[in-house]
Amino acid sequence: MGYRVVKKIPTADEIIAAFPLSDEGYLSIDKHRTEIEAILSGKDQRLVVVVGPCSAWPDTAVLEYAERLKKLNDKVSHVLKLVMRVYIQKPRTIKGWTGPVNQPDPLSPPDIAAGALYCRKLMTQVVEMGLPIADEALFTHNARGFIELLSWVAIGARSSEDQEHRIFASGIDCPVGIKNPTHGSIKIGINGVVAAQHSHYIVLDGNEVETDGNQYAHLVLRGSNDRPNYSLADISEVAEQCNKNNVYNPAVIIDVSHDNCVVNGVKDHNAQAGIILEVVNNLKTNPELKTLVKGFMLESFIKPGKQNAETANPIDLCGLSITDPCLGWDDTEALLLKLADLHIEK
Amino acid sequence: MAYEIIKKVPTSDEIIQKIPLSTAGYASIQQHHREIEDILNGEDSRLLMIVGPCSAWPDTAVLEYAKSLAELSKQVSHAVKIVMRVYIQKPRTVKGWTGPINQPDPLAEPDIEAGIWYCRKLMTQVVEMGLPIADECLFTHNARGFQELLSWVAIGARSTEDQEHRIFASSLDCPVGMKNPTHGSLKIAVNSILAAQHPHYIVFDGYEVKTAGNKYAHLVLRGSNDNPNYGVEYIAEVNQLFKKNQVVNPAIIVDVSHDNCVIDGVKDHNEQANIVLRVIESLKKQPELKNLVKGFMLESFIKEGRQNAESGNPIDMSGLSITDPCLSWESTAKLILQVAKQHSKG
Repeated sequence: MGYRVVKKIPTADEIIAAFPLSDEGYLSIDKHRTEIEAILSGKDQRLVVVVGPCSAWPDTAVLEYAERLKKLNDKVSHVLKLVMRVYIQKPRTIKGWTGPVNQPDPLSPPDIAAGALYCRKLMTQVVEMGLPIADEALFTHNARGFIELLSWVAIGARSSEDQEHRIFASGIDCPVGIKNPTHGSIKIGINGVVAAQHSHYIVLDGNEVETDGNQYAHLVLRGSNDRPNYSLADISEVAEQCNKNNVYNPAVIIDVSHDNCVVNGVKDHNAQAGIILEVVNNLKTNPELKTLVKGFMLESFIKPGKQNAETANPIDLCGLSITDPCLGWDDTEALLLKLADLHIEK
Repeated sequence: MAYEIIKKVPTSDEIIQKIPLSTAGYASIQQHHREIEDILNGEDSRLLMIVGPCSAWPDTAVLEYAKSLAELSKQVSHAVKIVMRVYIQKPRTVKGWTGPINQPDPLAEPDIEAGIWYCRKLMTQVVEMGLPIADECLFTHNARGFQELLSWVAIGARSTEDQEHRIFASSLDCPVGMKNPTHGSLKIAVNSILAAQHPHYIVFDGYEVKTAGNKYAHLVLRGSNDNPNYGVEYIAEVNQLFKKNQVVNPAIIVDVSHDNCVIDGVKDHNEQANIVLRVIESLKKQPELKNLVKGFMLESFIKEGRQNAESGNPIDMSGLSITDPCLSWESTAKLILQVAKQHSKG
């Protein structure tokens, strides 16, 4: 192969042994997964809200954010099931920083062994605080040690048509949200959901395995290169496609970031709050579609906006995104309190 | 993970030891790599023709096809460099037979260990005949033992935007053709090439590796869900994108099958020959674009058309495709002879 081996990385067992999760931590993950499944299947009326920084860096700010989210969670947990984004792996349009799992210090060269330890430690710390966590399943060759800690997993827009990622999703223990592809085809998005719900034979980690099929695979609408896709017409198309393809536990999460918050070609992170309220309002008069929309995803950190890690001088380490721009904490808190109020009113 | 381990699969060392390739076979692969690289970088003005069955099954018919193709290859080697498709892994729209690597007998249960022996044996046999072989790189978790035998690799339309596949492509020893995505965006296809040409850090096989970057990553035009894309206007658009992005060794292979041979929503396998000739004709007055088109891919087997392997009918084992419909051997030979004659005239 055309590569140079840099070094052997710790095995998943070594990573887990270095930063073990407590028994309570494991039990909490089981409970979170069961609750999210109940929301997706309609047994629990709450909304899932997947919220947190675009990328989980730096760890100190991520933990500070987690503390705040935990406190907010105590106020809204009767109406909202909050899941924190702890995204350790990032897809890029072409190349660039691919997240702390590969490069825990964005200003130093990649170091995957250090990244594995950074990510495992950070993820277990957030889980031990009692919060469920979410990540994208991007690097399937480096998933063990992390994926066991997740309560919700995304298959990203650039991977959702890839068969290996779809089959990987069919072998994940927790609910998995399949994003619509970047060009926006809802049909291909639903094909991804159907494929992930089905069981498959594949080689993973040197074994021939038969995946269970993930009955809680669902669609995440994240907009497309051309336009947003959170309108009633888009949701209605999802409903039709779910029906037509006999999708189990039909469900949609609306990602109000990414191409859904692009205004005149630029991502407006502050638009996220308005989009959630608009969708909630639109669904008031449409009980069937309202039932399908099980929650939202938003990108949020301590400070609003973003910085460029390569040019920022000095780099802000207090919770300002170095990838996509985020909603600030104050706006996030106000939004989620409002959403909780609106959802309780019905 | 939510899967049942069926059994451990043989390691790549075990696979290679059990069905070894001769020293002459290895040397031939090196020679094929160089020749294909020279065609892609313009030092060799021959055309590349990647031809063979949609899926490499059954082995007896694939070997018979290979014998005829090896003969033909000698006749045209002054003008055309032939590479045989030995496709062992197949992507599906949702689910279905994923190729002999996972299910060497399409009518029996999947058996990946048996698939590994079937595929390694078949591939080495074709290589020992002197033919370079090609496959799609779909299952990156089950690539070793096969990847080393290839002289040309495709990243499929459904995986071309996936970062893990792009990085895998950046680590391949041989030229890799990145297909345009199913929705047809040439910009995303060129992004794939840029990503594959660049070195990356990633985990493969338990190691942190730095990939070399594949300087011979190039574009494969395969049509889109909406329309064919072999017209001069598309090739001109690719040319602009190549220039704008400073792609190294800019090159296009036109895949005349897949969505390029769809007429009124149905694949017409016989149309493939006409499209090859039409493209050659259309480039006659376009020297710059002609220079960019380095060859063609077509799906061809012994018999024309296809059959359904899942129906109760007896299966035709003498070279009739069980996946996409193929051009017959007679039409294939006639086309290649004609192309060789035209191309050697200049």
